[in-house]
Order: sequence, then C-alpha cells, then structure tokens
Amino acid sequence: MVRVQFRDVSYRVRERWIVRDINIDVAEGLNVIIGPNGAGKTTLLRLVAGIILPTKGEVLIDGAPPSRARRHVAYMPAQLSLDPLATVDDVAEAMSYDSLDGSWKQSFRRWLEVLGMGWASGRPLMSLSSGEQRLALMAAALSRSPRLLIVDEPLAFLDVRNQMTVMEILRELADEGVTVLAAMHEVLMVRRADKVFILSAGRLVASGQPSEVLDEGLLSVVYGVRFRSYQGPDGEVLLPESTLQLKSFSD
Amino acid sequence: MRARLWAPLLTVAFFASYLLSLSVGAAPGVGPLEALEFMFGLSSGISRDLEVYRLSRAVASTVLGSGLAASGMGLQYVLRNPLADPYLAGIASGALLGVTLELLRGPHGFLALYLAALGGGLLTLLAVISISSFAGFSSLSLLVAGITISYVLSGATMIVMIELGPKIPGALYWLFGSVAFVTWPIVLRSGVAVAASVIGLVLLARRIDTLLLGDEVATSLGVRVPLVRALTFVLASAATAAVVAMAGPVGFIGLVSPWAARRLTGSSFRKALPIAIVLGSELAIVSDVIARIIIAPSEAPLTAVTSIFGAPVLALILVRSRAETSW
Repeated sequence: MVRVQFRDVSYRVRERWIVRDINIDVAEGLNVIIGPNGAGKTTLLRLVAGIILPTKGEVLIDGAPPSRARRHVAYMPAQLSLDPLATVDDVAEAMSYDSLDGSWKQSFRRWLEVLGMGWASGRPLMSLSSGEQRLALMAAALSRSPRLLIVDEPLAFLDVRNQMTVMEILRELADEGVTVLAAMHEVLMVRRADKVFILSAGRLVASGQPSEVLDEGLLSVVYGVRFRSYQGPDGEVLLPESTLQLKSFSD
Repeated sequence: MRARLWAPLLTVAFFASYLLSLSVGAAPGVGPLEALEFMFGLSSGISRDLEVYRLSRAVASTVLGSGLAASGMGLQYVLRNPLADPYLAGIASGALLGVTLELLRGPHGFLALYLAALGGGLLTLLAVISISSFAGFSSLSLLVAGITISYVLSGATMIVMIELGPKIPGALYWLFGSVAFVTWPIVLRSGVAVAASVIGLVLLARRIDTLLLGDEVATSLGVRVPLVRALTFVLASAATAAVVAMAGPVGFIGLVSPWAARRLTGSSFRKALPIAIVLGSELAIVSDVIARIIIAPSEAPLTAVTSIFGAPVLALILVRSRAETSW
C-alpha cells in the first residue's frame, strides 16, 4: 500500500489558480476523483505523477516527493500522445524503462489478454482505434506492477463491456493492495470506488465513501444538471436528467 | 525478433560491399581477384597502392554512412518525424556553411573544421525548430522551415565557394559531397568523432525510446525529456558535422537508412540504431562505387548518386506517411 498526501496544495498557471488548498490523504483502495470538465482533476493526477510541481504546499508519496517513488508508480494520461509508428510492444518496452529484469514481458502478455487485446501484439498503434490504443497503454502501465496506479479517464473511448472490464480490474487491483487514484466522468461507475473526491472549480467540495458523497443535491450543484435517484436491483442509482439549457438549445 | 533475422544478412552485405568497393574502379586490371589478394595481404606494387586508396574510400564511406544514419535516427525519434534528417532539418547546410567560412579564413586542421561545422549545424537546427514551432510544430512546418533555411544557407555557401574555389583545389567537392579526396588521418579523426556521437546515442537509447509514450508519460517515468531532446540534437549535429568536415554534405542516407531500419526491426530506437548504421554504411559504400564508375574516368559527386537513387525513396515515404497518418 502506498500513501498519497496532498498538503495544502495549490497550483497556478500564470495568474489562474487551477487547484487551491487541496488536502487529501489516501493510503489504499480505489480512489476516484470526479468533477466537471476543467475542475482540476487532471492537474491533481499530474501532481502525483511528478509531472508538475505544486505552486504551494506539497504532494507526498509514502512521505517523499513523487520524483523519489517513480519505480512503483504507473501513470496513464487522459490525452494520449503516443507515436503512431510505434507498435503495441514498443509501448510496453518503453514503459519498462526503469525495470530491472524482463518480468514485465510476461505480465504485459497477460494484461493484453485480460483486456481482450492479445491479437494486437506487434501491431503499430496507428492501426488501432482510440479505445484500443488506450487499452494497449493500460496493459503496458499495468505490466509495471505498480503499487500506485494513477489513471486519468480510464474509461474514456471504451465501449460498455470494456468499461466494465477496466473497472473490475481497478477494483481487483485495489483489493490486492494497490493504491489506485483515478479521475473519471462516469458517475454510475463511481459506486464501486472506496473513496470519492468531488472537485469543483479547483476546490475539493466533498470526499468520502460513495454512499456518503454521491448525493443528488450535491451532484446537481456541482455539475449544473439535475440528478434523480432511481431504485435499481442493487441499490440506489443516480441518473442525470436533461438540462434546461439543452432544451432551449433545440428551440 | 526481426532484428535478429536481419542482422546476419546485413553483416554479409556489409562485407560484400567492401569487396565490391575494393574490386571496382576506374583503373583497369585491378578487379575482384586483386581485391581478394589485397584482403589476404598478398598484393604488392601499384595494385597494392590502389587497393589502399580504395580501402580509404570504403572506410570513409562507412564513417559517412554511419554518421548520417545515426544523426537521422536521433532526429527522427526525438522530433517524432519520419521525414527528419540532417538535410531536411538544415543541419547539413549549416555545417557546410560553417566549414566553408572556416576554410575562407585559411587552411585548417580537421578539429577546427569539425567545430565550425558543429556550430553551423546546431545554430541552423535551432533556427529551424524555432521557426517551425512558431508555425505550430508539425511534420509539414518542420519540412518547410528546414527547406527555407537550407536555401538561404546554400545561397550563402555558393557565394563563399566562388571566393574559395581558386584558393583550395577540390573545394567544390565539399559542396557536392565526395570521399574521393579524403586522406587516412582525416578519415580516422572523422571516424572517432562519429563514434563518439554514436556512443552518446547508445547511452541515451533507453531514454529516447520512452519518448514514444509522449512527454508526460516519459516524465512520469523519471526521464528528463527536454534534456534528452537537447542532448540528442547535439549528438545528431555532431555526427553530421564530423561527416561534413570530412567529405561535405551527402543527402538521403540520413533519411533513408533510419526509415528502412525502422521498417525492418519495428520501432525501438535501441534495436533500430545499429541496423540503420550498417544500412547507412552500405548505402554510402555502394553509392561511392557508383560515383566512381558512372562517368569514369571522371568522378561523380556522392550527393549526385544518393540524390538520384534516394529521391524516389523520399517520395515513397511521403506517400506512405500521408496514407498512414494525417498531418
């Protein structure tokens, strides 16, 4: 288990504060950050991955700065910038940059199979769809056997079945002791998280177990869309209703 | 896997190209038999002298091909552009102008020419990348910026060459690129300089490979991306500078060999680099043989040969890259 701490973290680009006064302390499980576009989710993940440094405050992984913990961390961005000429296997090999042995190879094969991408081995990325590229990068990231997995929009571009598969993998990794930190938009999927963080306009507005935090009133305020709760076969389901803005848009 | 398949084939081809280079030339009566005698240390007299000369050309071509291939490899990977090469990125033109300006100041040793070429090449690359960034960094903008700057520098080089022509015999060959006038000491020095660049690139190889993941992911792995990029630019420029200081700029080898190596081995920089170097050497050796015989007893410039054979390959890459990825 890896402990991730945000201590009074703020991050500024020029004059604009992207995130402000963030305090988060997670040490295990599946932790999901949700919030509207531009709320600062990606910024939080990039801070943990050590890609950017906080303007104020500090981010710690097991008590040390992120640059000290890289070997046990895997990061998958929301926006991929892979070389289209590279093959799926090149991606995995590049991801194993700091590995000491070749054990990632077997692990990568296994993850490709689990994600239904076994057929893609050896193929160039430009021959894959956006969703398939994401699954390939996910397999490569997982083949690092990370103790801290940072994933931005792990379900983006995926069909329903692949969304379920990825969510189950994240759930299982968390149960096995990997600390998972994810940002996502799929409010329905968030029920499977251990802890949810709601970010709005750069500030943390709520955190806790899904049952505590996923409240129709709060989500309605945060997203500006009315949520309504329905009774599903295994509990309450929150579904958004169409917005007034959309209605006026079609007039 | 595929690299393992191609490596022995390319090694055989490498030795075959040396045998070819030692067997073919304008002088009559010195052919394959004499070349074999020379290889086993059995030749003597004029035949031996001729073979020593041909060997110097073959070794110079090896240095030239390796340097340009390694330079092109580095540029293509860090710029993530299959069209990047020492020529299109402007390094070769900048290096050539550096060398001619240095020659204009008087006779110089190899080191001074190498440093002048490196300075010219690096400055040009910087200018090309800056202009290209202003235009929204892409394959196309890089290409246009490179060609634009190269035209300006070629113009300047021509003017300097007119001044230089009467002073230094063979200066024109610098402009066109040729290994006909190289001497052993220069080949050796250029070889050491190219080797230094190649070793640098090999040391960086694993880091260069992480760039295919995108800058963000590479950074998350602990790779200092801007530093890796800057070092690769310096090493690529240094390799090209060493070649230009020895034999002038030669086109297409730095473009075609990395591209072909990538086709053969997949795309890992680490695996493709040695293949590109061997391919580049073979291309240079064979091109030099053609340059010797195509208008014998006169010498054709090396660039003339590589251009005639290389241009169709550039067209092929353009067509393929358009079909495969959108600009």
